[in-house]
Amino acid sequence: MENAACPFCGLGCDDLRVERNGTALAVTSTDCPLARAGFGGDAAAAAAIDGRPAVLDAAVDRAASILAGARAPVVHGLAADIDGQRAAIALARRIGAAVDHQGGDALARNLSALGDGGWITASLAEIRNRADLIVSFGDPADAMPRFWQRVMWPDATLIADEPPARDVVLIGDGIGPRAGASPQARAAAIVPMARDAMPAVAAALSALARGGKVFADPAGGIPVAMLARIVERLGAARYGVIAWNAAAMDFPQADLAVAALAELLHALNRTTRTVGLPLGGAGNALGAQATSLWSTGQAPRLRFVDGEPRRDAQLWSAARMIAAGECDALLWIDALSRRPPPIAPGIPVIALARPGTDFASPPAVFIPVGAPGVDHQGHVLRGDAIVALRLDKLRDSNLPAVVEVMERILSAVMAGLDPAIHADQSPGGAGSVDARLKAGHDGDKKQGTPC
Amino acid sequence: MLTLLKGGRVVDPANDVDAVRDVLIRDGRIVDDPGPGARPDATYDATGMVVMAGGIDLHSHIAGGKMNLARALTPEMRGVIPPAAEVGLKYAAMGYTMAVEPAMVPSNARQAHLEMADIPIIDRGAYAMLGNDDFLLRLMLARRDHRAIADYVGTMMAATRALGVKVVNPGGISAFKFNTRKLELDEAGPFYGQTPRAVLHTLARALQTLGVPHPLHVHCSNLGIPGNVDTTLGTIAGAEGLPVHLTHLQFHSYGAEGDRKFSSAASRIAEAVNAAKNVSIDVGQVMFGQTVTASADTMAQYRNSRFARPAKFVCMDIECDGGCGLVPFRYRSRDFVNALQWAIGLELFLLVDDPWRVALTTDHPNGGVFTSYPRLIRLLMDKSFRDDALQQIEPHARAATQLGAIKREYTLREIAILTRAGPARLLGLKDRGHLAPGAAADITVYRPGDDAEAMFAAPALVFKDGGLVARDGKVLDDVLAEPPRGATHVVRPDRDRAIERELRDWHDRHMLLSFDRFALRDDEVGSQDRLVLHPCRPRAM
Ligand code: SF4
Ligand SMILES: [Zn+2]
Repeated sequence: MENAACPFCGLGCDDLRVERNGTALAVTSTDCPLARAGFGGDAAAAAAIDGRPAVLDAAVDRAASILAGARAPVVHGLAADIDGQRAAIALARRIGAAVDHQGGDALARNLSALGDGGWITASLAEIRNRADLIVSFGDPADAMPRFWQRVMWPDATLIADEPPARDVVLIGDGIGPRAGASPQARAAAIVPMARDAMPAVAAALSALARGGKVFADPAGGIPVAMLARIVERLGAARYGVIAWNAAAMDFPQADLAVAALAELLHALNRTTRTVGLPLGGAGNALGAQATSLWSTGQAPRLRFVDGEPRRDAQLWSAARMIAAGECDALLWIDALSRRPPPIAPGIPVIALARPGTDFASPPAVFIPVGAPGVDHQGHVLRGDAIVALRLDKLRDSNLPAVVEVMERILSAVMAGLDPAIHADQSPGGAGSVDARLKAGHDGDKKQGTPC
Repeated sequence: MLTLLKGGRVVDPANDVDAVRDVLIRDGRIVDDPGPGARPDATYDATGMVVMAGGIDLHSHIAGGKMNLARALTPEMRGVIPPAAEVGLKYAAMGYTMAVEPAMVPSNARQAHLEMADIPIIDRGAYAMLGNDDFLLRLMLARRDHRAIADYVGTMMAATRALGVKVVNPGGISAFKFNTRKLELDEAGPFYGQTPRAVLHTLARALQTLGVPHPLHVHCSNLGIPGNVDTTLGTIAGAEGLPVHLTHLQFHSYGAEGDRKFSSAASRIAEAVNAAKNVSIDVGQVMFGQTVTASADTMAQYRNSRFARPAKFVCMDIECDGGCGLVPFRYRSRDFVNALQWAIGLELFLLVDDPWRVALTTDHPNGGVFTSYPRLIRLLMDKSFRDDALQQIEPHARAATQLGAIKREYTLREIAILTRAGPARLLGLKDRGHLAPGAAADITVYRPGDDAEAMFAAPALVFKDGGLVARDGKVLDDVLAEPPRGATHVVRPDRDRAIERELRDWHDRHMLLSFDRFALRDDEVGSQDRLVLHPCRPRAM
């Protein structure tokens, strides 16, 4: 297959050559590791209950009975095509589950800044054609392996019929010396920065752009004069880009760092054009966000209470709920990356996952599913949340799509499995879970406006 | 299955009917009286009620990436941007059976259709946004023949599954990407050197050439700027007689007179619209309250962001074909500018003579949410209600509007034109917006009363494709449990496919997506939905 579309990161490449031998696929046009892993691997696996092979019907029934009996189920992972995500959200509504994407931390950081002050951004092709300067926190290739080739170094742009001359500034730690170098071997400027210094650095950049003073020098370990020079270059650029990868920002106040970058964008756009580029989108994260927004009005993370979505980016974090013992059934969906579910001791896990997923311990129910763009058609939303990519079926694997399994589980749940019969399966005692949930609700009220 | 709607006052201006008569429905269509032998399977007594075709909203932002951005920008607001399911339910409960998304960015079309497929009950459609796409501006720069441009426009309509074409701030969104902050009607834009006037005329002519049964939808330049009346009058002239629909005209009817350099120019605009028979409009009425404005016009939205309330906004440059800007707004009756905007909208409604060329909108959610239509209808129908409302607004605005002096009250017939017959005719929908045999059985039955707001907010009965979906302003429980799906209306003009070669090359060189993957295929979105194709009447030019 020529020009295959790739669902494995937010870049949405559609130029892959994928060769097929039986049901085995191999990417031969790029060495992108995410694509190679995603298109590769087994095309078959048996469903399992408690680690023992089971027929699909039995696995579906068992999944439905666990979910129907749960008082605080969590639908997590959510790495599927849009149809699968839509069906998962519908199921969550029906069973009163919390909903969190596997990249929920990154989504929450960006959404927090967006809901706070808004921002100014651009979609990928706009950046490909217009950028003359990119300042990125971290190497964008960490989130999107072919970023440089596809976005930054085209042979020509709308503006000029020649390869663009672009300035690249990469801020961060562990950035390789060749990262961001142009095909003509012009090196990027690399500014070392400790990971957790980003909030301080972003705040200083934004203060400088607004004409303010920064008194602590260096700021976040970087001399203020150097930061002033970066702001000056952004101010002088015709179409500057500021990129960050929220998934890599696992330090305190990450949401404030994004908000500071948004302020920097607001300040720069008073005189010139500068756009933000929130990197990421693997696991169809933006598809999950968009589907949730249009079908519930709210972004993840949320929990359905009496069919109504209640959003709280902290409270309904699946990781937090598992750690706090507030979850009594975990439905894990990953039809893309083969990421295993989080370790959740004592909690029954239903895993809709690709063959070859490496579980730490056998889930209560394993239902193998196909990947969109590999085993079946589907759509994913690119990292810029603008382009929905149509994906093809590349082989006959008999692996069901997430949407099919979701619909079967939903109808089994609806078929009226009596929750009372299954209540004893929830560990830790229903009372304690309920008590913690109630505490969670009260916390919700006190917090006022979540996230 | 034969359904009888018995003895209602049928207000059906498209067929020049205003009389008590029965309406018969079979297989989702209105049918002739089958004669005395036929026994209806279901009969609804409509005695004393008013029967109209289902409402049609030809301009309401109901889907697409920018609505999701608006939702994400304002998580604290509930109900302003309803989720897809509620859009369908709320429209249906209000007696509307179709709504058209007016600003579908071509690169976002697939997502918009995925979202629209989740809007239940009502029919949908969308206008593809062109006129800021680098490809078109380039064709114009190269002085390509109008046939090639029409082929391109037709190709984009087909590729994005559009019902029509809208141009937003012609060339201005593209100009903003080059850091141009204002673009006058006759000012050459950056890089491509095209004036808004030329872009507008080129697109209007392309639709004419393709025979698209719908005028070019135009969001004029200089939205929201005091004194933009001249731009708007220039735009009307610039259409040179070609069919154009000027959308949310209220935002484009501003003078710059008075102490505050902001005044109503509604009468000048109305006069020009009355004289130009090729022009239709919708108003984009401002209704007081909190909203989030959503527009592709990044140039205007960036400028307006200083009025954001709460103080936050989003601007996005999109994929070499458009943009979007989201700015939360609170329209306050005690604010001079907001109050005058409210009055200007009503002046436009009341001063444009021909109701067939006016569609009732608030430009949802930009002037207000679509659920405020019943109140707006009462403002139009009920002079004393309007005068009371006028007393509530900021006094300088009250002094600056002639609204109090306007005696006109809309009749039921005229409201039926504004809300269904007119939009259907403007959209070229032959079997919607009226109640003659053969039409789709999208029917709303109202219980008349002194309070037009109550009447239009809670229709007694609403039928979609012949099935009862709502009663007394509430969607039926069994419909809620399994809502029917409406149709998607599209226009797919005949065209020379040669232009596709250029588009393919363009996508391969400059976009991150091949043209084949850019274009929607019939089998991929909403295959469960009915696709209704509306024919074109190509014209040699
Ligand atoms: S960069 Fe992303 S979209 Fe492109 S091939 Fe690699 S994983 Fe796929
Ligand atoms: Zn609009």
